[in-house]
Amino acid sequence: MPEFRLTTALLILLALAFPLQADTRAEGTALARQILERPANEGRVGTMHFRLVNSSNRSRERAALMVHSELDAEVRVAIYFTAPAAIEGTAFLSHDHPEGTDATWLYLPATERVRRLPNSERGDYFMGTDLTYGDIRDNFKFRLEDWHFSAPGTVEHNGRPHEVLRGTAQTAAIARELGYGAFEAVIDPETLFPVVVEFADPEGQPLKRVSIAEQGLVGGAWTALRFSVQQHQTGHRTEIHFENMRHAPDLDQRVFDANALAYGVPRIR
Amino acid sequence: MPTSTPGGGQPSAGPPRRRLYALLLLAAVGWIWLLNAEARVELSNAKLEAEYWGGVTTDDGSAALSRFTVKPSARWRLGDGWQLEVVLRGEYASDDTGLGSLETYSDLSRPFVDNTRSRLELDRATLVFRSGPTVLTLGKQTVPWGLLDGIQITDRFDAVRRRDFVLTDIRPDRLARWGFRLRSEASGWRVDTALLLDPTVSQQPAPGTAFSPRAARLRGGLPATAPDLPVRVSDRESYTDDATFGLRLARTLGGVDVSVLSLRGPDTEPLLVFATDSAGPYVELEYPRRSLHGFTLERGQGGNVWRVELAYVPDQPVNIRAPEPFAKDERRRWLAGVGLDWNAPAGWFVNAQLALDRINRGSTDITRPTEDVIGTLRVQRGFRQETWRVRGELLGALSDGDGVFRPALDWRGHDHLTITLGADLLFGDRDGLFGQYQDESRAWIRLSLSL
Repeated sequence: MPEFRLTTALLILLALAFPLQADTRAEGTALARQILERPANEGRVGTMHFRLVNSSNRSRERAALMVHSELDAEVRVAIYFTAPAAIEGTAFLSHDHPEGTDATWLYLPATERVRRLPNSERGDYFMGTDLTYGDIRDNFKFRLEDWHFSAPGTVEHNGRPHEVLRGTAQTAAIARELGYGAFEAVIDPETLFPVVVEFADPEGQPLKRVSIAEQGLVGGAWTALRFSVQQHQTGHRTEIHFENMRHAPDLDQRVFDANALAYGVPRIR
Repeated sequence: MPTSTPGGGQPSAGPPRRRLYALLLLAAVGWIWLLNAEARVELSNAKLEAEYWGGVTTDDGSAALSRFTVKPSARWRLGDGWQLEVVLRGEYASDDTGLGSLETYSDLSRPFVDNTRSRLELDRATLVFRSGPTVLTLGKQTVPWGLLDGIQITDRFDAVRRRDFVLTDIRPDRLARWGFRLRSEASGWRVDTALLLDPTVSQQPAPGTAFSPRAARLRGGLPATAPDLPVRVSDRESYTDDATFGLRLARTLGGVDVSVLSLRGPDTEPLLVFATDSAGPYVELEYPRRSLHGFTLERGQGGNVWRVELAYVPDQPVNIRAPEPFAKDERRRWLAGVGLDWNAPAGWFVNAQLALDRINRGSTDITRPTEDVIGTLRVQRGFRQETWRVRGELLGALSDGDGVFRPALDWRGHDHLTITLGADLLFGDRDGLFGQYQDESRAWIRLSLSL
């Protein structure tokens, strides 16, 4: 009977598809774990240049000294703005603890005080840029507890095959917190660094594209040295490049002390 | 405030100050020349800030505010660990608010140029040495202790400008003074100690200007309708007797930042005293020494930050109601404040604060309320990549029901220019802290340029 054969065929197809889907999820999770376990270093410092471009192509520029440390899974980032004059002396510090309370501080020269900030949602945007606080903390990694992963295959990028990693937020609450409902990333197989990431908002609409134009090995850790973030919904773009990014193995941890923000740009040898 | 005598009670700036400045300048230039010869001087930053702040009263549209400010600054690295920073301030005003009185300044802190409408002064001048956790700061500086925004519980080390009442963008508007400050760490404690020898106290509005005191509580109990008396400020030239000294110890305990502090120095707000001399009776503004002992606590809790401040002044100078005019006494004073920062939904930021200021009643009433309850509420949000920011602030004396509402809109679409439109709308009883200035409600514009 035709209906019986059709039903049987469908059931067989479903039975075959399920382990295939489970395979891509397992591969995706494995790839995400490899990315997460990318070597980090105990300290790097460089000059960060931001260019913020609106949909009318008008731009604003920022420069800052960025100091980054990743020790025992605790990530600490200090950003001291040096230009333009209106924000020169402004400094930002974040401590991201794997377990326990994250903390951020801001120093505004006009107030002459270091101010502890309420923790921002990871999806909140950092100081007018198209980078979120989560983007800055995660450093082009994808946390296993946030996403359901899959690895549908490879694509050609710059003449080489690259893995594709997809993720959907595990829950609606996570999607709201991150500001992302899903992503698709093209991963460099040699560095395990994303070279392109397309993000969708929690409603599934295209949100922004992160393109890494240049990576560099700094103290044994791959780092994005030049990248851009293009917002699809507003037409705004943020371009970032680092100058003089160098490994700082003997970084004085006092640089990451909140009170040090008031003392101005540190001199790091 | 009753009319001040022309020139006030202060000698005009003269040879001693100029000689001292010349010596300091010579020493600084000499040192920089020596270091430069060793190629150890580096200009690390130079900046020019200019601002125009202009406004009209909402009552009759008269020029409430028209002030132009220029602040050039430079910072040099001088060899290992040393840094020199100099900030000048030039101001020109042609309005009802004015530039404030200089009677409360020490000779060393007075402007170089002081005309009816213009001034040029040294705003900051610091020589800083850093070595490890130790920072030594010498020169003209501020000591911004305390945690709350614009509410001074433990934040009573610095003298402040009162020419704009509390209606400035940053509160308090601090006055730098000459002295030393040493910050270091020991056994997990952060130690901060300061000795400012400069006897300058808080700047008052010039007599007859928009924010000169009108409420009886700020006039020693006299109403604004009382006959004027000449006003003189007590001598501000005692650099040892009128020094301010303080010590603050801070530590982080389980994610909570706590500190204890003590300071002693001239009260930065005036005590009115009746006096007479050959010219007749006058009112003298005295600044008796007092002590303050305080405690602060700050804790982050997810999307909130909580702040608590407590202070005790065992010897607060006060004016009391007595048969003789401008009688004075000392009373115990307690101050307490709590504040909350909250990252609210949809990108809104909220800051709310509540403070209690209580003075011991004693056997005789004082000329101000024994208890003030002050509340502040600020909400703000950025739009379009933080190129626009809208904010609203409500400050009020909850005990009296008066206050001020301060809406503002910032445009920051340019790297070097910020434009702000705002208003200060005062309301309440004319004898209240805020209500006394209800006729000075104004709308204003501020243009800020940074190069």
